Amino acid sequence: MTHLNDVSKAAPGIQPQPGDFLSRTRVVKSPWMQRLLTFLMVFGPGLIVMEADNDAGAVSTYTQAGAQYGLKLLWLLILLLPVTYFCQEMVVRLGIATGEGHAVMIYKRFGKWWGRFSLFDLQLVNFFTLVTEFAGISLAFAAMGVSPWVSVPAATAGLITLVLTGSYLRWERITILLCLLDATWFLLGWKSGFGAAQVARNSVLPSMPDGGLSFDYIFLVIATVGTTIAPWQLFFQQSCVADKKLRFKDLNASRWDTFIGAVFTVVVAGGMMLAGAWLFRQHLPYTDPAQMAMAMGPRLGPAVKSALLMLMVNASILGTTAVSLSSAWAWAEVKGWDRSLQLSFRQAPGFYLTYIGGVFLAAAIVLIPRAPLQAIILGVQVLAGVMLPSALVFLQILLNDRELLGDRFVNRPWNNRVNWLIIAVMFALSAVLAAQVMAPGLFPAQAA
Amino acid sequence: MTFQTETLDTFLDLEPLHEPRADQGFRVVHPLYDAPEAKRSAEGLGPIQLTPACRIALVAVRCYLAAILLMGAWRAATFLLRR
Repeated sequence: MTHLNDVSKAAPGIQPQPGDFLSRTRVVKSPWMQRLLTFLMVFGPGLIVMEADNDAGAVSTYTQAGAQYGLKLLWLLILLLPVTYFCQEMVVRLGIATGEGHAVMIYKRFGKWWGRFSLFDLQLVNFFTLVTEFAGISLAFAAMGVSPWVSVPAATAGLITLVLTGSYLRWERITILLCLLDATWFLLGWKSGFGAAQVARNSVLPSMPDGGLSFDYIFLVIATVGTTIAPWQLFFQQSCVADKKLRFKDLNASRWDTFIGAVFTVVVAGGMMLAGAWLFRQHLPYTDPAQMAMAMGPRLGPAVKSALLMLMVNASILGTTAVSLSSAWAWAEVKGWDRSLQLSFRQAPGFYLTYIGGVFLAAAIVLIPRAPLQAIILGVQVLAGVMLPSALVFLQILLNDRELLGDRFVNRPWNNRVNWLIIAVMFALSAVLAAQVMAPGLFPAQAA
Repeated sequence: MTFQTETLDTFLDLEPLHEPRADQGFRVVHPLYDAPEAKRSAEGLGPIQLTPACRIALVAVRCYLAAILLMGAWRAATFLLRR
């Protein structure tokens, strides 16, 4: 039997959360138990950053991909798994090595111009993303018969309370719980009635849609890539790693956290695509995830409808807290303000006010009657498209900064080869997406 | 089996406590409550040293952003002319 010994009482200078198993200092008898406990204590930022990316926009994109093309885009999710892992693994290394956030590292190593560019870009795209998250909350609750004037303020209050507890661990554990609720998407995907062999085949073998290759298909591919890898994720995870004070020796556990998060996220995204593919199989039209839930309700039961709508809300809540925190951390880092979820509002007012201000303003915009939400969603796509390649280039250059990181944390040659390839593909895809949105006449009319 | 507890002084002395000790077992400390470690700092470093690949990538970012800005300007101009 493995023995656990609580030594926190012997160390009065250290103040763990009372009665909390995983936050206390422990002495265990076996090395495997030490590794397991260390992993459980480190676990969190990787899962949260990955799963929070399955936000309102992702639910919309993945379900639309399923509704329009059935299982034909499942292979893309499998392809994106290593891509998203490699990008996030770099920020884990950078965060653990420096103990600082991404925004401040760009300021310090590239100067004020690029620092301001990155920060402004991040804040702008994050704010528009927040508006789409609140639009998702409003849409899902409206489908359940709840007025936006009730649902949006209630969600705002919940999101603010979530971070104001002055405990990083409390925020992390509630958020992990919300992430794990997303596993319900897997059950919904299973309810859509596709066979395991069919799903497996489409996951590993890319195939053309029935009508042949169209620009519609290509842009949905680009949207899926853009949804799976977002600029805010780079800033969020590095700041989160710094806030959690992860140590050099936590690097491998943190890599596993990130990898598990990537796998979980891809599985959940697959569930979303399968749920959308149910409409494709039934030859039903697709407008948005709320309409999809209403269409599925009469055939698959009210529980499925309610689950889908609540999962939409969950996705939006997860997205909102992560995106708002990435903005607040980045802004406070650059301003030199105190910034930690471990601090109270009085100790870090600037950090919390940035979070609260962003959430309030985004919620207010959604409540404006006839707000141009469609234009905002397009704006998010363009801005994210503009920012992602440059954010990845800065990340790659920082990870080649041997003077800063030393031999231990700097990219290996194989890292660089993989990452340059990812960056080149992202550049091409983002440029096509941005060009199409900014100049719709640039490309020929869509194929049938 | 009983475990020996630590004094505050030895507790804050991080390195030896993470070594496996037969009489005490293996210590696990939550990162939030562990003693801070000296991180790699950018203070005092000069301008970032760019490899040739990094230099090319930075030029590509500049060209890319300029192209996006031009496209945005073209879109705005055509929109205004149509009105």
